[in-house]
Amino acid sequence: MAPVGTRILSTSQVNQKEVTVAPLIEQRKNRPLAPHLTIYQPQLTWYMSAFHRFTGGAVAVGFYAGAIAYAVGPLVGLGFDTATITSTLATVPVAAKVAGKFIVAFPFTFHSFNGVRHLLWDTARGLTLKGVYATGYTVLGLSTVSAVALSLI
Amino acid sequence: IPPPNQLHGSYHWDFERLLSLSMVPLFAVSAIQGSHPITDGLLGVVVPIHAHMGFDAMITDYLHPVKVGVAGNKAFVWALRGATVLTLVGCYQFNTSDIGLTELIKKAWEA
Repeated sequence: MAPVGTRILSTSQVNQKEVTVAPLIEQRKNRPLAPHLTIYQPQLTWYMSAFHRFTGGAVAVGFYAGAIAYAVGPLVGLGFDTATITSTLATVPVAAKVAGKFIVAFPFTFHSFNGVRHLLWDTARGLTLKGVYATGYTVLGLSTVSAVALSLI
Repeated sequence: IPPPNQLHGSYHWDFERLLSLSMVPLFAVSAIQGSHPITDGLLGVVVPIHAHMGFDAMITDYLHPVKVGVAGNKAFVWALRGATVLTLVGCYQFNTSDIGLTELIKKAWEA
């Protein structure tokens, strides 16, 4: 017979969050995500919206990288100033220069014209299916033409 | 009901749209007139702030607390703030001790 006053079971302090929530989080990390972008019908509306964000991010990353490189360059010995930039660019072949200029100019022109389209919507104009598609194709046309023009300067 | 904060909601929206709208004449004048200390200075302030708000929206959408944790989200937000401050400093330095933003674009484009 067990001696009086002895515990048969033992207990310990449990962190409720660790025990109940943490395993759920680990399970969620392993679950697949339902398809979204891959199954939605390609449409001008959301393609252009995604491209607007993508081009904005691209131009901004370039701008930030340039400005931060200029600010931090002298501290780390990175020669980043107008003279080095222009002289390095002068050594690039013409075809690569035109292509490079288009690659830089198009995101900028697309984001700018599409930005105007967004501001137009913010005044409650053109918020119809026809308006969205008409302005959308206009933006695509304008941005391509202006980017080509800029890359030929 | 929490007390209203001027930085939230429609004030932020108004500020964002006004800033974006101001970029249209600013870029037009810089393109037509060329470099000028005032427009270069404004570019060096308006563009970083516009980019910051765009990046902030991307962090809110893709790097939210449910995905990266409360600490992760805060880390990204503060990293963005640091990057924007550095960018503002870089633009100021470039506009004051170098040839200015519009002049750089012009020179680099015609190099």
